[in-house]
Amino acid sequence: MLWAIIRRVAIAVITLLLATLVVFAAVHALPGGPATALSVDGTSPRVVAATAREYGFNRPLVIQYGVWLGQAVRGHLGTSPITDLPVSSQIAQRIPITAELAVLSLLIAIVIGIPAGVLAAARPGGIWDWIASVVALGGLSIPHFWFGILVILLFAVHLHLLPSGGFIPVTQGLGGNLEHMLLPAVVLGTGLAAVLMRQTRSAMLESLGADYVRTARAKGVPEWKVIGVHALRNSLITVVTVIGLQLGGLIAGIVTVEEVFDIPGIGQLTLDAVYQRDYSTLQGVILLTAAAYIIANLLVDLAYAVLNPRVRATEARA
Amino acid sequence: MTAAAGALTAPHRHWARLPFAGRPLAQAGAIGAFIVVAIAVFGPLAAPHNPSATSFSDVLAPPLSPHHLLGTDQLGRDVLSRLLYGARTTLEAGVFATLLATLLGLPIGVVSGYFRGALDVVIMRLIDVTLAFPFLLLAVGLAAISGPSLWNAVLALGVAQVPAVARIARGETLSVRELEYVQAALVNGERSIAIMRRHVVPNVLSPVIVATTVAIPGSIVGAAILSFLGLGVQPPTADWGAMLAQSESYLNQSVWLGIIPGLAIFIAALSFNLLGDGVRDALDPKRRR
Repeated sequence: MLWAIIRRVAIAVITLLLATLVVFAAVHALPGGPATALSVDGTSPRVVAATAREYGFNRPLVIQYGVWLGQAVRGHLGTSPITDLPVSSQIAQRIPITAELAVLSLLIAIVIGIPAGVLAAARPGGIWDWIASVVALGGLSIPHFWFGILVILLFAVHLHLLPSGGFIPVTQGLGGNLEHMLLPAVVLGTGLAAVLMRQTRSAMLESLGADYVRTARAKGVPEWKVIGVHALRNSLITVVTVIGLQLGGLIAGIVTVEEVFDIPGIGQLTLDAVYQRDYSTLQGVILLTAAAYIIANLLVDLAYAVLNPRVRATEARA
Repeated sequence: MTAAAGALTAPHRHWARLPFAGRPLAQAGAIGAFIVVAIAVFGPLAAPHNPSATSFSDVLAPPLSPHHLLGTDQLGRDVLSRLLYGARTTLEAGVFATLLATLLGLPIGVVSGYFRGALDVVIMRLIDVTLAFPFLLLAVGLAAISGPSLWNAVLALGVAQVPAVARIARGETLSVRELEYVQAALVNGERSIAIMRRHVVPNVLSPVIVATTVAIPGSIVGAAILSFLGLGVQPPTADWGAMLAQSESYLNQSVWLGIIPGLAIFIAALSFNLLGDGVRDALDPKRRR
């Protein structure tokens, strides 16, 4: 078990290093070369030369990479030429906003998706199965940004119930904060709920057909307990994996939803950086997202190994 | 009715041999996908107006206006014509991205599974690195390097799907390479390239095709997302995602501008999703009921 964890962590570290190499290569492919792109003032030769010295861009590539990586690891991601603020502090400001959105949507997805999947699998082909499957397929096909526009049209423009966008920090009142977060989190969460529902359903169907479930039924375990305890617990293993696989999609969803609802999170920072050609910020955001993605996947992997006794057993033998 | 019962009671009825017989959802998806493709191919011929022709005397007209069946946008351009032209752009992006993923992923997976060993380990690790860059990050990076464009969006979407295709192709290759006819070809002294081309690829192709069919709706929505965010198609080209992005500032005056293009994306994605589910169910014996 310990070896399995060490192996997974080592793989994640290697992947992370390779990912930084990709970003480093991309920085070198930027128009005008890396020093011009990352300078606070790319038009001034003196500033560009100073940036080149700071990052060691006039030294051999291997050393450049080492210096650049060292800076990045210590959180020195450069200064944005647009806002004149350090990239790291800009990112730090926006992480809580995006994290709140991500956590709220995941909660909504789990609260809706898993019970709906269980309900659908309890009577395959039944009316609940049909309704849940059709709604889920709709949820999969509806693009977040359009769904976002539709709920803005209904709840903000038409009914005037909720704000159409913007953000209020928790420190200025929890009510206002949640009021602004509700629509975006629902839009993002329901899309994820559709995926979770489909996976929970098929995992539950598989569990319900297994021998141990038949045994449980034969010895007279009440049906709610068979479904809710015996089958569901085993199905959750698959569901955890699926949440891991959805992380990439979640990132795309967060960026679009932040754009539609005008939420000043990491997604908006990224898009603004693209529009304004703010390469320092862009490099920081991409490094951060790739690292977050790899770490999240590692955690899912480890959770999977902990949850699933069969994985533990094979890892022990290997 | 199950397939077996259908075969016993009505062996010669024509409708039973229609694709996806007894699966109304899959049939609806097939019809929807066919219509969307037809619009993408022939739509521009049927468009009543030039999709880029502006008319400032006629902005934000509601649907069912004279001359403009679906109304006009903020520049007085005909929404129906833009929708018909946009079908081609949106679908092209989705289909080319999936095609690119297959063209890159299939050889990578086959080579990796065929040679195994160190090469396999290296290739699979690189595939893992690709997974660390979801399509949106790739698109952001490409837009930063060479500016946003339709082809950068296609490239980002395609590359992001390579790992999935490569993994499936690799898994299939691992089992196919152990089969007798591949071993026989080896003994015969055929070169590895020839064995992979003539014996392995044809046999791993069908699971790869299923995987890509299932991936097409994701690519269509992905392409729409990128042009919505300004990372894909650039104005004035007509595209469903871009139409939605431009509508955002005018939702107070014209609700329809925010609804029509989104509905088009939704219908296209739903049709391909239903079709993909049908294809997968039909080809996967484990799922047959």
